[in-house]
Amino acid sequence: MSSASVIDQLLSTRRDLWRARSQGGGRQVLPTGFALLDEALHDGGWPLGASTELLAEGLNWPLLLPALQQRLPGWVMLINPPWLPGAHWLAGQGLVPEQLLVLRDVSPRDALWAADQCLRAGCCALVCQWLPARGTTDRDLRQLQLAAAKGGAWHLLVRPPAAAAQAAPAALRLQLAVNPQGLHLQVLKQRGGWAGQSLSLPLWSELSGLQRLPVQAWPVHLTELPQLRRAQPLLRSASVAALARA
Amino acid sequence: MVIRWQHTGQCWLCFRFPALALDYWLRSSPDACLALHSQDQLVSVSPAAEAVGVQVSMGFTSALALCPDLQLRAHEPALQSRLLTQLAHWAYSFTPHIRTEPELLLLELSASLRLFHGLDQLVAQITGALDARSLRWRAGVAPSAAAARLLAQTDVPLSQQLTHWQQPGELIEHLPLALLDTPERCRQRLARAGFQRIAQVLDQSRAALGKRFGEGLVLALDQLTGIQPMPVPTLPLPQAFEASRVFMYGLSDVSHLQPVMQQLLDEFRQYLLRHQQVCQQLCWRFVGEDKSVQELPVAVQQAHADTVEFAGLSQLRMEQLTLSAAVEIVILRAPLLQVAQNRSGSLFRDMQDNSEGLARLADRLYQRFDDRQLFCLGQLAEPVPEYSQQHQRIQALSQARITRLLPKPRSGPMDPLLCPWLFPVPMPAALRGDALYWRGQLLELVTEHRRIDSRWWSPERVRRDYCIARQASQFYQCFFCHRQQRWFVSGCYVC
Repeated sequence: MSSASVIDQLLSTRRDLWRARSQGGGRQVLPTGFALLDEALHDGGWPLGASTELLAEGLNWPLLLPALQQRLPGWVMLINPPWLPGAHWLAGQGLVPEQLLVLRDVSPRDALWAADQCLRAGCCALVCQWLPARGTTDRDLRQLQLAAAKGGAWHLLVRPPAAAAQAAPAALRLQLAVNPQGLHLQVLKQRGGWAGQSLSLPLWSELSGLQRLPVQAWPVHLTELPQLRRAQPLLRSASVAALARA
Repeated sequence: MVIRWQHTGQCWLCFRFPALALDYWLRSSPDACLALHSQDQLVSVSPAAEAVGVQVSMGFTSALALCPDLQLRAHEPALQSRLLTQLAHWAYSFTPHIRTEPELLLLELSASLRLFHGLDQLVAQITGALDARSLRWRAGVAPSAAAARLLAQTDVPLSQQLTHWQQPGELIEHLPLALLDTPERCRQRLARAGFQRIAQVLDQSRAALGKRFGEGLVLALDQLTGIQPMPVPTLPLPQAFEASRVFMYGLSDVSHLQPVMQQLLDEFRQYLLRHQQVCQQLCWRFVGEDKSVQELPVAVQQAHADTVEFAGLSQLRMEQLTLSAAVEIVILRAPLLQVAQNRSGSLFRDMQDNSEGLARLADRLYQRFDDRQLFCLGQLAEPVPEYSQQHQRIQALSQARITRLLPKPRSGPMDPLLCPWLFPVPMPAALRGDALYWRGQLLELVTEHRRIDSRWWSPERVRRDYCIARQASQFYQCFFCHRQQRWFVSGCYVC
């Protein structure tokens, strides 16, 4: 018997020994729907009642949809998204567009207030918030995490990759990058577990197999479309025009 | 056979307030010498003034000579009526069957006896509350409204009435005819005929009485004895609430208005509880020293009676308010009140409807943001992607409605018209030779194009070819616009 196994056996017999890695923490989690990702995460899923920071240029819906399906029905709140969500595409994934809320063109303070309200209410399936790399204080992020804890909400913070260098109080920090294989994730921080795990998820498999179309298959540049005939100005003879002026 | 007293199944409690307006003015100083006057004569005198000799119908000079400290106030019938209405609304917490008459408040209590553990306890509760308000009253209890009204004019102790209320004949029959609710002329004729007591009239047959003294007397007797009971009325609830606070000095700081607003909301809460009503919209009005008026509406999606929530919403609106002048009057109006509906909830967690929580959240968010900033998406039957969805106001949908709206998941090949993220405005891409560039990088088309030709009926005809393009590892939705003969990028798949 190896010495390591002997030591493990001895340690397991002791009742007064606390081992961090064996602590589940009793925290609420949401399975991500990806076995690889669940294995890499210490708690086995997206943390509920805490903030998750995604350091990426934007939000990748296929990454969230498996977990989101478990939380529905409920509102999905998007705060300051850079683009508008496509209602028809999301409806094709089983989301009711009327449950997708968008808050845009608001000041950073108002956005933080709205996020706080949504997180505390605890009735949203997902609260996803876009924040800049700079301008958000550590205190604001902690307040948001406290609000998420109060409401037991699933909170996502999407920040630019440049924010990876800054410390943040989020329970889970993932750096995302798109590569030809799919989506590459690196765990920068996770509560209760080790960081540094890397993995790739084959998202958008239906797109990754597409090849470049030859130029001959490009749409034909048609000539200008026949338009509705515009009303032509009435042409009068000089004598008629003179009579009209008189 | 002469019919006496009929069992009606009703239980009427009649209160008579002989000096309601006077008691209202005396509430803060019960020992004051106060009198109400109408056309130079006194119509109501406080007990303290009566003690020094001031009497009803006395003139001003005589009254002031007897009591130099006598305070005089004009008699206002409108105030009397308003006070009686307020009492009726207060009594709504005991029974909804209430009727008001001049100086009288009639309550039908048969449906409330069980809830309040019997008539004795219920009457004790009501009279105790009236005594706490320092109101002078007389009461009558009987199975018919007319009998209760009659007993309220007598000095028969209420305790004695409660003992015999189901046999009112024992208390009423020996009373004089003058108390009967008949015209004066009829009473005079009865007196000339030798009738002194009610029992004597009841001994006669109705037909003979009607022939000799008129059908009015017969009707009065039938109502008294319960043969023709009065229909049980229901107090009509007001559809609106209004309360105000007036200041002798102006309040110029928004924070100083908070306690006042909280007071008004507390009053409103009591009102809603008493009337079992809910509210969907409030309106605050601030009247300034310069007579300017600023209004602050607060609306909610689902009507409720939670004034704490209304206070929070009002505070959110107040944060955006700038007072144009110091405020002298603060008014709270609730124009549309509704009857509260009992809503049943599910015992099962997964079937619980959280639409109420969502509605409250939407209410809070809309106090700070407008429809342009906060919206949800709606689908339109339009092929052009940027016209195929609309922004609409958020509504808290019930579980059942969400189930009906649930779309069917789509499967099959990628449709270039469907994109998870849409740019607010399509961005032009550059075509150089046979290559497409966007943001300085090469765009490669990877799907067949899908052509749409829409809006042919308008000058802005749309003919586009949509396809998916790849730029490095990311995919975009792009289209060729035949009208402008240009390529555009309109959406993003992977970000």
